[in-house]
Amino acid sequence: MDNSDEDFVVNVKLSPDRSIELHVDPNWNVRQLKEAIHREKQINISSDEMSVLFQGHALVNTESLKNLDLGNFSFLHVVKSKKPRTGQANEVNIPDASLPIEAYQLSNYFVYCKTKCFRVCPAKLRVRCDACHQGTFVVEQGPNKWSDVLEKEQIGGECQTESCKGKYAEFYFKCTGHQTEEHEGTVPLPLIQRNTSRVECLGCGDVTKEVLVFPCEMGHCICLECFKEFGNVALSHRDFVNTPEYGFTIGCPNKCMNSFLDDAHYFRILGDASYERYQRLATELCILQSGGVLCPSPGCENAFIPDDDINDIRCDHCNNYFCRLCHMQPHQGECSSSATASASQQFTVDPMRSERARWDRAARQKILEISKPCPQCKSPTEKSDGCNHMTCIALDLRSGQKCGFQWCWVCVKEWTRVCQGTHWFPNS
Amino acid sequence: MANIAVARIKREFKEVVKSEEVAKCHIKVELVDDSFTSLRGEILGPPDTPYEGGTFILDIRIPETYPFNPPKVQFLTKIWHPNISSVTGAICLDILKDQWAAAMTLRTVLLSLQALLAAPEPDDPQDAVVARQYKETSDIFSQTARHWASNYASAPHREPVMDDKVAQLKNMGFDEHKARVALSTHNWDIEQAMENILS
Ligand SMILES: [Zn+2]
Ligand SMILES: [Zn+2]
Ligand SMILES: [Zn+2]
Ligand SMILES: [Zn+2]
Ligand SMILES: [Zn+2]
Ligand SMILES: [Zn+2]
Ligand SMILES: [Zn+2]
Ligand SMILES: [Zn+2]
Repeated sequence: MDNSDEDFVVNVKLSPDRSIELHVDPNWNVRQLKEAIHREKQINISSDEMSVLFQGHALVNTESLKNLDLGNFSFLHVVKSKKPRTGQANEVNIPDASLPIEAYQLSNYFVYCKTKCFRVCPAKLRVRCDACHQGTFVVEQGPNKWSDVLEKEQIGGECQTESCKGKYAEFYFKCTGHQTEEHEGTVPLPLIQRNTSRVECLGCGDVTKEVLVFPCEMGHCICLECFKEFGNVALSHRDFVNTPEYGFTIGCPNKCMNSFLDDAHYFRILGDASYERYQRLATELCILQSGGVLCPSPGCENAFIPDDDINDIRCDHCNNYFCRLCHMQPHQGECSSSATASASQQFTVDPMRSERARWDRAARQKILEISKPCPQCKSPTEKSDGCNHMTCIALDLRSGQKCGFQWCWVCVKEWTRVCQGTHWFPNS
Repeated sequence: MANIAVARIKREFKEVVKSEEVAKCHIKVELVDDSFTSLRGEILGPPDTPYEGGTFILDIRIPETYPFNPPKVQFLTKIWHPNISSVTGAICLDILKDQWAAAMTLRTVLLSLQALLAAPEPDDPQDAVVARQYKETSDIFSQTARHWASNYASAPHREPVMDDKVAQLKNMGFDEHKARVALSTHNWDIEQAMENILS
């Protein structure tokens, strides 16, 4: 949606099974919204008792809707306020998002959109209660790393739904590529990153917007276009291997150690036909492992389980005739697999090319370690964990009060919902 | 050709042209046409080898799937080396096959080939005859390789005795290259070589 002053629609959830659609004026503030909700449905909560929750936070009455980054058909949750709890940094008072809504298109998080877009899309990070799955959840602290959002029960907090005793946050990702309901399937792809370091692609050498960073020590980067090419070449060469941890997969195109992709969804990027082929080859690998043979003829993917004592095999699909062991033409006598000379080690990989295609984790870590001044009181603040949501704890010497300013480590500005949706924790 | 391969080759081409090795005339790459699929490489025979000072021309074909598949490289200059076919110029080198990796470039391929000239791997031969000679009579191998380099790659160091033997057979009406191959294969025994050509 754009930033115009036109009315838009929000979904207001009154209970897990009751929701209404409400036309709202972007010029309203939250108090006016509460009054509208109260009028609309004559629900039992007065606008004074009412808490409107959006993405893990209670909205403040004075906030303007225009600045909330709600978007058409956003879900808001209405609950009767629980007793106010003090000292909960994340609960209230998150001021307006001055960033445009398009900012979500620049999210640091990427998903494969399985339902609509069928491609890699930037995503919004969202949070809800893991017990009742409502957005009525207030977190104690933000996530620091991928495992905090991918694994269960990592981030605690309190569910604001009256009858719910949910104690843990559940995170999920919404595709920004299409209009979406809340509970739709997307697959997070943590290895895909916005190319903020402007790293050259290991394949084509271009500096693209997004890159896939392999989990190898060097952190080699490849653009999504080249990943597609690389994956397809690997499929036709049968370079995929079966790993005990990650199943049927491939590693860094530079043949680095410990660089296997840990999720089959990365291979969705190759396209539908190739993904099907990937699945078929994975099945064929099972055949191989149970003593079967694959036809070595390029393009032919025929698989068979010949008798143990037969070495010369004819493919019943392409008619290729080959030796079971060396895959060459059947021959007399014992089989010896062909050998090749090995290049002197020092020149194998071009050090310049390899160096320029690296996501330098160590250097980025250093950047993360330095301190930044609080945008309000200018006190130098050091970041202790991964979460980008900072609360200034510096003491104002004149007033004797804590500064308490909530700000974003990435933007070095007030913390906004766009910050929360796109870079709550660093993706690197 | 696929855009990825073209983009990559254009970039590499510039890099090789600017590289230090080119400045020292150790390697060179040229375009054959403007499609970037076919290139001409050149390497200088490394010092302290029979190939010293020779200029070896290579035919380089870029596959559509480059850089995820290796370039196809072949010697156009005739050469006597255990890992290079003396007949076709085909090369047996792991990085041009299954050990290829995407961060390798034209530059590293040419440097690897230069390294291969300096350190043959006779246990994984491309040319069995040459490999046997390399292992069994290394002096004759070195002289033969030098003789080929001086005749085909304009290397400065000649082997006059071998030149004479080739000239002898040539004067008898035999084809010069055939004579050279036969002599090289039979450790420069003129009678065996003649028998071989006539049979
Ligand atoms: Zn989508
Ligand atoms: Zn709940
Ligand atoms: Zn690329
Ligand atoms: Zn790597
Ligand atoms: Zn077949
Ligand atoms: Zn065999
Ligand atoms: Zn402060
Ligand atoms: Zn921010």
